Amino acid sequence: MTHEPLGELEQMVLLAIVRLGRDSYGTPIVDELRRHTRRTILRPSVYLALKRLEAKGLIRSRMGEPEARRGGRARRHFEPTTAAMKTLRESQRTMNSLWSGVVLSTDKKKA
Amino acid sequence: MKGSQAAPPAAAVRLLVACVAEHERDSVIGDLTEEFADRQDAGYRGNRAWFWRETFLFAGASLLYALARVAPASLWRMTMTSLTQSFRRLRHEWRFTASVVLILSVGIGPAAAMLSVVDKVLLRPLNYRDSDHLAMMRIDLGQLAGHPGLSPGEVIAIREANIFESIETETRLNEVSYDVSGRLTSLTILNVTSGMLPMLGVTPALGRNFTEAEIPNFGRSQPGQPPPPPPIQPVMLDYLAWQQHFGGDPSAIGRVITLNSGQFQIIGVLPDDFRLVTGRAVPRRVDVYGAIRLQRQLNAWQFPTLARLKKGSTFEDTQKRLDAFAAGMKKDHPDVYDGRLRYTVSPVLEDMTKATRPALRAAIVGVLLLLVIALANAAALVVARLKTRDLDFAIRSALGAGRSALLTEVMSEALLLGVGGALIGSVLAIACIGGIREVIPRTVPRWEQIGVSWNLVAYAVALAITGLVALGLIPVWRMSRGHAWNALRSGSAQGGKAEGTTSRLILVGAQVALTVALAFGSVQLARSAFELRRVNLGFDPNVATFRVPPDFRKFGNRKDLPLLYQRIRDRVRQVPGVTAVGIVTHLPLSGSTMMDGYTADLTKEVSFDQSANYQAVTPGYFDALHIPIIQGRDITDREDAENQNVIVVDETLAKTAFPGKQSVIGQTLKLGWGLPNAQIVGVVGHAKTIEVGRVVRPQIYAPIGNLFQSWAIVTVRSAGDPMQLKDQVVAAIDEVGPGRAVSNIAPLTDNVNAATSALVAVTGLVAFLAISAGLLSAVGLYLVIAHVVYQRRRATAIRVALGAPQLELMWRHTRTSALVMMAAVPIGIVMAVALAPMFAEITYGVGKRDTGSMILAVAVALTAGLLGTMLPVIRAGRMNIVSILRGD
Repeated sequence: MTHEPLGELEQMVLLAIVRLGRDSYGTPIVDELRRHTRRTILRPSVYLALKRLEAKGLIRSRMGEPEARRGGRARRHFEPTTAAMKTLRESQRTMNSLWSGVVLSTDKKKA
Repeated sequence: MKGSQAAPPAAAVRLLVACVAEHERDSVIGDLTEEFADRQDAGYRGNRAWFWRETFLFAGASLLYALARVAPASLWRMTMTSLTQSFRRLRHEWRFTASVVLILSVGIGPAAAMLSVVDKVLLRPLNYRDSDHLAMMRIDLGQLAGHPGLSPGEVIAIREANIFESIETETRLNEVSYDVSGRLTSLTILNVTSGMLPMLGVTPALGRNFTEAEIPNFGRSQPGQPPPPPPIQPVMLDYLAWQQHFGGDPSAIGRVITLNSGQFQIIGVLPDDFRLVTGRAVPRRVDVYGAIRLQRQLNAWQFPTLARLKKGSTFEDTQKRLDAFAAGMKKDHPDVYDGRLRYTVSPVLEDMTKATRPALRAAIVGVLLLLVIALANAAALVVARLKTRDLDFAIRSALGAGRSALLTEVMSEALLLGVGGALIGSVLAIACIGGIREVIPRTVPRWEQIGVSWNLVAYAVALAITGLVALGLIPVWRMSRGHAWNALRSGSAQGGKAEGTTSRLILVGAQVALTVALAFGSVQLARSAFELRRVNLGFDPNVATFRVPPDFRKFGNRKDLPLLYQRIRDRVRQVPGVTAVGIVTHLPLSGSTMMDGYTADLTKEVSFDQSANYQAVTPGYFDALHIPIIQGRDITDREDAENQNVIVVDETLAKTAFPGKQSVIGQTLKLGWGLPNAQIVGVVGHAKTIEVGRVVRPQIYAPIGNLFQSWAIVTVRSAGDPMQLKDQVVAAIDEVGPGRAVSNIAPLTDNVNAATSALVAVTGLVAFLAISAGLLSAVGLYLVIAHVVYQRRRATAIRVALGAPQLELMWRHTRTSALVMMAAVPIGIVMAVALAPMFAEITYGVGKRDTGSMILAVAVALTAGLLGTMLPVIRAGRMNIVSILRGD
């Protein structure tokens, strides 16, 4: 399969889905990203990333049961495809390989 | 279920349904609805606003996504061409362009700046893990309400009652001397319980957090045994302190350092952006964080306490459990709690911003009003210009130009004008932020983070552009529905009677009224700033000050301390150029005071019914600060050395405690702070120590050995600038050897400037708003009058041709303006009177309803109105009658 390049946000969203396992739908994914990053994560950008990931065949989704707490609407659960796991493994291997032996000097900020 | 009681705003849900693709609706709207319910259950506030914000984000994103997908290349090309043409047209009509851009920027700048402040101070979540579940605890104890410190015993008891997921506390900020091979540097230290940083979700940038096990217990020596050696204590460094004092060296971790002759091991460095909040206003930086172990002590309410709510519990539930807990504590410890006892819990952010919230809200209303007025004026200018182009549009329409082409043109012009306004507005916003930072006291939480929020500037710009486009579209729409043909048929661009003049006049009237009110405020503030510069402080602040915390292992004895200070005074006095030296514990206008009661009736108990500020001084202090001695004398060296029970009081106290007595020398006062009864030996002038503008409390000066403090401040006066002698003075103090680092070296004028700078800055800000409002009302009047003049130009030309005098014509035009002023100025005066109490709180030396200020304010508004009126009238006088009559 051809590997379409993954954007940074797409990769983060994919990782969040992997981390969350069965409980991955919109809100927990956004929360997970906000917990692990120091930047502002806008909800619509995450949903757009999910749409792109689905179009690239890296995630698939299934609808849950409608819930009263959600105004009678169902959850859309996401899970990574085999291709996604392969892409992530490849990305991890590349990053580990690039990082090995790199020591960053401490960022000295002046007061 | 609690969350189901309140549904998300129906209108927002409808908007989401309209803009989110059908197959995504369940996911997007369902997720938002579920999170809304979760937030409701968790007791969050502002949930509806949150839902609306998320809705707008989705709506914006959907719009952009749709545009990017459907807009064909030809549309982009058309837009680019239209933008280029509009740019050329606007450059050609640069006066019009400059006016609109300036008006927009005057609206956008202050609004964006003020919204940024509100965002940074009030709205942005704190930089802690799940900060919405973090609570600040306060205690109501007898007469004391909302006190921010709990006692360590209470913290332990609440922990054991299992009310919170975790509850942690901290001590007050202290200064310590950091000893690097004999050279002493002053650092600030704050002790926290070991769970504080993990509770906040703070991970050290380097090293690790505290563990409970490593916090040493300070053992007591057994009788007959030597005291055990003090254990090495763990500390963590603030990021900046690590950079400044340890060169950002990672090997600092594990190093043992000496602080105040104790041994401390550095175990970690905190992240760069970490700040610890407390219930107190602690504007000072913390250099070092230490760890404390709590003891079961119930009556020491000085530990600011933070807690994390249990998962699933709300602030209301927790409060109920705390109320029950307080009842139990009162029953178990009647000796400690003999009055009211209540522990209160509130979100940390809310606790921090409680005092600031109303003022910021008022400011927001002011600047948004200015933004709306600016937008209305800019739109009026755009619409007026479009009206003059009726004929142009009509001809183009007749030649086959579609409605979309005209719409694109209007939109691209509005976009360019909006962007221009945004650019200059952003520069103004940055300037305003600088002013606002000065206005807002440094005690306001997150003061140091106040800066421009670019997303809010973007909101203000989007609002401006949308407003301009929407209002600009109205005439285009009307033209495209046939109005343009009227223009062609009439043979001129004169469309008929003055349309919309009444509504514009009302708008201008509102602007004139606002100008009066704001101009009144700024005149009051400006006069107050001027008065403050002339105020008699009661002391001469041209002295240098040096904070000296003595080493109490060497000078812990009551007798030793006055001797140490006497030696310091004698030594510093020998520095060439020094003319006077005195020592005090609390500097005037430093924000730090010691307040307690006193009484002249020795049979009574001391209470807060009669209170004074206590200061500990050495002989020579009054001389150093040029505080005049009115009766009696200064404390003598002997009285100081022997800690004799004598005091000096200020003239205010002499009058209050002994009304009608000519001399109070030799009288005895019963004092607070555990001081014995003391005899008055001198009366000095009142020195303004709390506020520059008024006498807050009387003052009592006691010998420094009697009123024991862990520091003292040496004040030094010299023939020239005392700060030039600072190195020699520090060397002289070090030579005497107090055993700790000299710190906080600064001129006392800094305190005076700090006390008055806020007023100067407020004056600047209000004056800026007043000038902006004045400018806008002038522009508003100009637009209305110009519009009327334009519409009446044929009638005017005929009158001129028939020989009507110029003056009469001018009056006809000016009359409208005069009527608006006559109606608006009284309303402005009423507004100013209503605002007067607000200004009175921060002004000094001017009356609440000062007539002079009011006359000046009305004059400013009238001048603005006159300018706005006369310019188009004068232009009308220069009209080319012949060309008008020809119907050009």
